[in-house]
Amino acid sequence: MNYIIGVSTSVFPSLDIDLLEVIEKIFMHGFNSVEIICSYPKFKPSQIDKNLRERIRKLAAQLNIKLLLHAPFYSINIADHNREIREFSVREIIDTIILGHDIEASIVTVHAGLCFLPCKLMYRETMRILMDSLSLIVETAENVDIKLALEIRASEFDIGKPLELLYIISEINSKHLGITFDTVQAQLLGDPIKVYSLVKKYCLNIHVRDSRKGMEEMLAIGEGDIGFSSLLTEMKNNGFNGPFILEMNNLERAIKSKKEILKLLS
Amino acid sequence: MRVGISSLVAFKEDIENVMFFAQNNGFSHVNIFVSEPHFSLFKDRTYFKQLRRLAQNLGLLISLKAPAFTQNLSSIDNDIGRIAVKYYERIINIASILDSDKVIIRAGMVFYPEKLHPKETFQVTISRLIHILEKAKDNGIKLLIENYPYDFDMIRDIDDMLLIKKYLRKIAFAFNIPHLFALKRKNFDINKINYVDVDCFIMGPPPSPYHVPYNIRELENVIALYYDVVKIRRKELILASVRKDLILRIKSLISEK
Repeated sequence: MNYIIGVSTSVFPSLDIDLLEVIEKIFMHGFNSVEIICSYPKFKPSQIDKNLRERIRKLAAQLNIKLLLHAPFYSINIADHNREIREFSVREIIDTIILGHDIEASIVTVHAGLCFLPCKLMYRETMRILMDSLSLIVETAENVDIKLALEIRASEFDIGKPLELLYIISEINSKHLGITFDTVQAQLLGDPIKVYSLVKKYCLNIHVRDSRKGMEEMLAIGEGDIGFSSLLTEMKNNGFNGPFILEMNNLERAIKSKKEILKLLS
Repeated sequence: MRVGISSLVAFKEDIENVMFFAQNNGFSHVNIFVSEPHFSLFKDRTYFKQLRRLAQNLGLLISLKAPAFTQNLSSIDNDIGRIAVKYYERIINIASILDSDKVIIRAGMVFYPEKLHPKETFQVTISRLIHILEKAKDNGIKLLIENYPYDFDMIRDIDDMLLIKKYLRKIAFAFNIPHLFALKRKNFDINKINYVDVDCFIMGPPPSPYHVPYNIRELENVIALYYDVVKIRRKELILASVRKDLILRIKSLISEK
């Protein structure tokens, strides 16, 4: 079976990188996919000009690299009760989807929203706000035929627990909306296999990284406590062949993990 | 010593109700927690004037607290920075209509992109703070920075306050006691508080009055820390919690001592 195994641009932690060089570099290391973290200062979607978009698209097509995007998430909250923050956040994600369309990316990973005090005290109202924001975002994704994947989030300040995501998906009811499963976030929530079983039907993308229990690290497979052998078997049995995005904090860890993942999937 | 309350105590109710609660329970001051839908910045001027009149009739002072859950003065993304500045400018305008004496703000948050660019982050934070300070001064309002306990916060303890004071000599602070407690500082020299301009103290359940759930078992320890601080500095106290009974309990615990 041919698996889609890529890296996140998190493997270049300085963020000060040239996207075209990144694509060439990951191709040279035998990856066939890359997830670009769209974050200021370098990769803010609205600041990536037409020319660069076209060059990224052409190079990825030429090297047969599947492109994915991770929408901005610092100071972004599509579930915010403050209108200005919410509208800005929705605009940033829509800009990411349009960038995705222009470079022919297939999936945009999005955080569902933050849950601070107003959300905790008025959870229902917050979810209604979130649904309104997401409806706009999903409409754009449908129009340009890009899949949106809400990421599993374990923090108490995030909306993104498995049951929350399943509820959102059932409410929005769009074929363009699914889930990004993150192995470390799943471990923070408990047993990664149980978490995966809950969401596997909607899984579009997997963030692969290892961590010690109770920590949020970006280690190579085998350096932490996640039982990858059984987890990857479960994914394989579910017919999932990628993308497996290696979200480590350096390229060496990603290269090491790629070998391991192929061994475990074989 | 004057004691006020945060309007957070009735987050799902109108500010008017908090004012009546404050007056009935002997508080001198209501610190409005600026967060939708509890308090909207987008209401018309008439509403704010009515609130001011009610506060005057009840003999209460008003101040504003901008929690800035997402707004980030330290962001190196100019769009995000602009939103934060605009938010604080709007709050200062409303504070002026309400005849408030002070606005409490959060200095900024340092996330991964900011950590990679510490110099730029510090510069943009200072320059935005100078701009907001001038705006506050023009409106006759005292701007106070509140300390927060989270790793990503720009102002967490007295050392951070002292550092920022080098660049903003006229800055004053709202000193949040449970936030300081949540840092679990060991061998911490509380006397340093003498070197910063503290305008008021904020008291509530740890780890934060702006957080649920809270840790009620540690409340007495937070009050003990407050008393250590008060031996050095006495200033106005603002009680903050989402629960009215807890506010009254803290008030009575403090009065007992």
